[in-house]
Amino acid sequence: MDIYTAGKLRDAVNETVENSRYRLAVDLADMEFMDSSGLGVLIAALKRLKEHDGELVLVSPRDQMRRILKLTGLDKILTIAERLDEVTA
Amino acid sequence: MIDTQVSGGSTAVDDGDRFVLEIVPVGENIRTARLFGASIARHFRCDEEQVEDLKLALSEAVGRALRNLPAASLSATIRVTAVKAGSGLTFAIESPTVEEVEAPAAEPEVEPSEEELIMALFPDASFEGSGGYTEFTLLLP
Repeated sequence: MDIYTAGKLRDAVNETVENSRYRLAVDLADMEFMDSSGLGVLIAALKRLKEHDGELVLVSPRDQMRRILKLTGLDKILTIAERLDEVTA
Repeated sequence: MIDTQVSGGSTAVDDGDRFVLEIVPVGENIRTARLFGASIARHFRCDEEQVEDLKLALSEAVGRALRNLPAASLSATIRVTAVKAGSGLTFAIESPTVEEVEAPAAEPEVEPSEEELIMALFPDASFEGSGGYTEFTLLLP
């Protein structure tokens, strides 16, 4: 996910919030790459969900994603789950 | 010298220890720049962690160039150059002269800037203008 593709996630998040759904899990298992454009969308999503006492969980991020989260300190702000069933249980 | 026309409005040149990619400034081509850099890094036997760092830095640098490109320059190209010198592989990302622009409306304050991320990966990185030039060096194994 980069500047070219981040808009798709932004649109999906906006649609979810507009449908009054404030607990969101983003399955990153198949996402091979993310840069700061993607992080910006995730942070904006978190902020928007928190306004409604909601929650954002990142599920199964790959090593590249974990590295960028750690590098930016966002691993301390964003909730990470290893598997989708941990969130949906 | 090998001059290859790549689909999507891109041109790649391999001149021994100097590699050049020219891309039209559209978002799809950020991926092209990442693949270009990754191929060169792997050619010089960098490990996958270095390759991932490079891909991220290139994505940030080309994204930075794209984001700040003046509207009048949309028909120009962004050039990514990799030069091997000694044990380093220096990447330079150049776009047409960039006007100083106001920062885009902030999303959240905690979002890292492109420059911050590149500096975290490559502390030697240097920047000129509002996206016009970015340079950093990958140390080869």
